[in-house]
Amino acid sequence: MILNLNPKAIRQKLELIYTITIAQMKSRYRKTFAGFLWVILNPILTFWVQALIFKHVLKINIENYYLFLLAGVIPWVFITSSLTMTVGIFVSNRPTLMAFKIDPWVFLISQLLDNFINFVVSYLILILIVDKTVFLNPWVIPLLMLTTFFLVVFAFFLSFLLATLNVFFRDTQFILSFVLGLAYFVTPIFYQKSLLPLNIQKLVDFNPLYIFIKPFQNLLWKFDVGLYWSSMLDAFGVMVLVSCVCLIYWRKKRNVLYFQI
Amino acid sequence: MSYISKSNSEIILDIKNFTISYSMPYYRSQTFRDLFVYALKSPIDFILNESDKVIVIDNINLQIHKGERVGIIGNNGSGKTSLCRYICGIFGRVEKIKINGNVKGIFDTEVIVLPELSGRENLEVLTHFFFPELTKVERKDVIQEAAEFSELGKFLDVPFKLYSKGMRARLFLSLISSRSTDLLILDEVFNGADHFFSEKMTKRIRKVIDESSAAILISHSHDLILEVCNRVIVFDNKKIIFDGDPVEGVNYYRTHCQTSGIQGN
Repeated sequence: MILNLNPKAIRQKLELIYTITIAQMKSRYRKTFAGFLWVILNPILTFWVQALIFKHVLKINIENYYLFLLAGVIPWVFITSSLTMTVGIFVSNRPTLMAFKIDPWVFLISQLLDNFINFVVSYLILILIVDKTVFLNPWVIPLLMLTTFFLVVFAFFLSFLLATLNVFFRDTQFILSFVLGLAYFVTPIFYQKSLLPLNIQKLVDFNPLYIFIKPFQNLLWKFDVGLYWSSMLDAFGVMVLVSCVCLIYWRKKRNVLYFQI
Repeated sequence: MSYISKSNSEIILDIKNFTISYSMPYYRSQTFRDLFVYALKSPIDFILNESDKVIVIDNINLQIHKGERVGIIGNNGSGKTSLCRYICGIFGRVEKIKINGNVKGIFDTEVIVLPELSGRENLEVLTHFFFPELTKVERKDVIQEAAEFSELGKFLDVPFKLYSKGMRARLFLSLISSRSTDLLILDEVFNGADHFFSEKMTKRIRKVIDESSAAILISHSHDLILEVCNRVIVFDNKKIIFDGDPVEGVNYYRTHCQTSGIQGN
């Protein structure tokens, strides 16, 4: 079981997640020059640097390019930073997990929550700077929330799967960082998919990270409702698949996890 | 040697036929690279070889009654701590272990949970780990009391990463000993703290043990076991080999286990 459904146990778990998240955020930002501000600034600066290079140096010609880039790059930063920061979380928290009665996934959720707060704040700030008219459409905010929900659930289960895998195969984190480095170039976040040859375009459709970024692009940049729901359907399928694989693997490995950690 | 408890009082812990073992892949690889190299080097072995079976706990039967203070002794790797982690629920819930009430345990007084945060802030987080059932007000009282008892003074506001082993032990022990419980488990907790604090802490731990319904103490200090416990269990090779009177238990351990060394599979 991942979660005990007793209301008291759920309340205690939520309190614990909240406490660890706040403590981790304090711990992370205490010694930094601009604290929390720097973490918010990081994706914003990443966005502007990429925007200037791709638009003005590489001359990528896409209509309303800043909005196109924004739709993809911030979810990309969220998902890749979440995967990178959580892949080793069970192993790095070994002493705490062996000393206290805490479910390992509590640490994972706390880290994701921390990243999620940064993601939401920086995304909202950038949308307001780049094109605040997107919010004039009353459907944008609820659909954006739904898309974000799918992204977060996917990020949770994929992180959970990789963190568990990393307990048994310690080079998972190195493989992940290699794959993500490669994925950056084969995920159409700073260029349009149509720029790729047709056979490659078909392959890109199977890129799970792109499957979760496409609904953001369809919603914010294209605002094509038909395309949006079709991309959400793909995202839903991948989300269910990844969560099932994760839960099956966790169920199989949970009892031996502590002896390998 | 089995032990029949003379106590008719309430059962706090009941374990029946509890065995834990797991299969470890034959190649014992810890990376995909090792796995890949092994599969290429010896493909037949890779497919046909069976996993090694690692026994963690071997057929344990144990009942602990209210009022019992059980000392567990045994060589390194004999299974003492693993059993207690199962009892405490660290490794998840197990059907064969039945506990009547709350169980609290401390297994390591050197864990650095959040190194950048102060001792006081770590204390707050640790309170959630040890006492999740407390209300906000109760938790505040526990933190205040533990902070005072630890005598760390201004060091409570110093980053936890700068604490010595003994200072960390003070903080952990002050917290865990601030409340009694139904079953208290203490695993080698007296290491690290200085002589004077150890004396003060021993008194307090004894008080908490007395107030708790039952207690399990794992220690290599036989003097401490004889001083605190009214029952001793000797572990050897993942099994209970003695269960009974403390003095007899310590003598049994000295005569039967001295040459066993570290016990793996």
